[in-house]
Amino acid sequence: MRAKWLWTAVVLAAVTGCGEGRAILNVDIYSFLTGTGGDTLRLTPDPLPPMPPGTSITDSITPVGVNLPGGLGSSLVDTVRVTGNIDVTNPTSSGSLSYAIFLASDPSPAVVYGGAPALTIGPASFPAATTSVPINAPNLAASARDLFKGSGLYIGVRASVSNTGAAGLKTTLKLTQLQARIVVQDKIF
Amino acid sequence: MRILVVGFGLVVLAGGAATPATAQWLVTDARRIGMGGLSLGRSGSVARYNPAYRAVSAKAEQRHGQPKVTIPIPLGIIQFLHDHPHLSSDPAFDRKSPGFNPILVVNTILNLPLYLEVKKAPTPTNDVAFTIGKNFLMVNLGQAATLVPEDQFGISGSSRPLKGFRVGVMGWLHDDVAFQLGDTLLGFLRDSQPADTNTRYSALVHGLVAGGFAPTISYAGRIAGDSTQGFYVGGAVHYYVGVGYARTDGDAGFVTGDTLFGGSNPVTPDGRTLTQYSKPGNTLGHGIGGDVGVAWVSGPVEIGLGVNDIGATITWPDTRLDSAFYRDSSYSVPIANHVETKTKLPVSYIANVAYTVGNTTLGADVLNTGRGSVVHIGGEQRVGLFAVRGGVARDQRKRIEFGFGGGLRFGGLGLDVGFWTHTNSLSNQRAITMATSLSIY
Repeated sequence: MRAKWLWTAVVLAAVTGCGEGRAILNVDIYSFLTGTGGDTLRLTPDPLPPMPPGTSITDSITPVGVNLPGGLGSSLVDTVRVTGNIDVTNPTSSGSLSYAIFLASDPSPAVVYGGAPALTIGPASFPAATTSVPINAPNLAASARDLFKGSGLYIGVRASVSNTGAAGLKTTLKLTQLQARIVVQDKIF
Repeated sequence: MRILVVGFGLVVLAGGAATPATAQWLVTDARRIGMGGLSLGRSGSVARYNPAYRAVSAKAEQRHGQPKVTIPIPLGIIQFLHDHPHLSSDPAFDRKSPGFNPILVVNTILNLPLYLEVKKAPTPTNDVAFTIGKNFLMVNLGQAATLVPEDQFGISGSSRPLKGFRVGVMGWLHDDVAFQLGDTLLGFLRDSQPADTNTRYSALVHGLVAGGFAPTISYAGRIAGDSTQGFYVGGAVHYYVGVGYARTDGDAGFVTGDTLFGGSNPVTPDGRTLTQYSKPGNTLGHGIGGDVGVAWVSGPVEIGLGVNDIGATITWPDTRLDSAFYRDSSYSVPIANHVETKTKLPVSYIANVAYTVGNTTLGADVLNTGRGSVVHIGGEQRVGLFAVRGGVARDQRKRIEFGFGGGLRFGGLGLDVGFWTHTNSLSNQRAITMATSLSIY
């Protein structure tokens, strides 16, 4: 509720000058994930042993809240571009990665992971060495874009790793960047 | 809505036609606009603020080429209705429409479409970027950041809705609204400084409105010379009777928390204000003040100086004082009731000089009504049937504006065209307005 005061102060100042321009929100989603453990997935989870060749594993994080200013209920979210980076750190074998990001307005894991992912990265192959996998989604679907209008956004990450090498595979998937660029047509009033 | 706008235009037109040119406001007189808003003789602000000019003969006006009556020709209304033929369904004016443009609405109010906009002030259009992290907030207003006022800004004035005579009663109304951003909020909005945790962002707010009436005894007369060369003095003593007033002085904003976007309470609204008011029906306020003015007319030269509302302090014997404080919850604490408070009318002054020789008139005036001085310098050159005019003005925001124009006169009838630049819109770029009026000499 109080966030809307700040938002109102900022938006009122902005709308005074922006006329028919757009409001652009650059949200550092990673800053909300880091420190919660939500930026990291250990596959296979400790203390489980490495996954054997030819097998795969899927795991997900507990949804993490991203506080947004909100107050954009009547606005048109034109674009939500998501960019970022995932590090596949110290894999003990080569493999393939699929990385899905879920968005919801409810913190319940059943709700967050109950729908289709907002974006999917991969499958992307990686060698038996630390590799970076870029995230670049030019625009999310309309249903996902509208979630950025509210003040409460919950993000879930589900990753699947397949072992395509000959040795057992164990690795850590770590988000190093995750940003959303939200372009809003300024229908503020 | 269309009927309303047309009706408004007709009212302005009819009002302008019925009102002598000397009493009309700036925007209805194309001749004054052409000279940058310059007041000459008894025209415009000179008679309002210099009581001595009430005794200066009409011949002085005619010497400056002043018409008896000016009738505005509101070409701007035609242009406005052409641009917005269906106002009631125009998306730009419909608050519920996605195309609603509050900037355009404000611009329209600030710049009433009375005259033709030759060059429109562009509505500032640019993207505004917000950068948000768990503990980071930065706003980049782009070009619009230049519109965030660094200094105190506001509006104020005192007016006299009823005209005073030698012995009479005038109405008075004093309003003063001021708003100033604090350093932290100014840096956040104007300089795109990131928001900080545990920091207060605020603005100072001041508002006052007071009104009443004033029995007045005034004098204006020539104490030396004749109608072509004379020294005039004028003065008035007012006994101000205050019917009601309200004043608030406050400081409002918000305080950021430990984390900007990390919790449910990232900011805490924070405000405090002291409100004072004396409602109509309470014991009337009272005070004494006066106006003085002198004017010297000597051949081609005319000089005047007038000062209004000297010492006009109004004492309100029955005032209530409330203190309001907001943080988490709002409450108001009565501080005192039936106590005496005072308000002060701003001292206004005008100084003017005019020089008329042959077909050339030059002049300048300085007017201060309590919130900055307005300066006008302009002139007119008459050549046969034609007149060419030009002028420059500095407005209360210390911006330079320009006026230029011309006129055509056939006996007792004249047609004047004036152009003036203005920036009293939400844009830093100048717009140019063309004013047209008929003059009867």
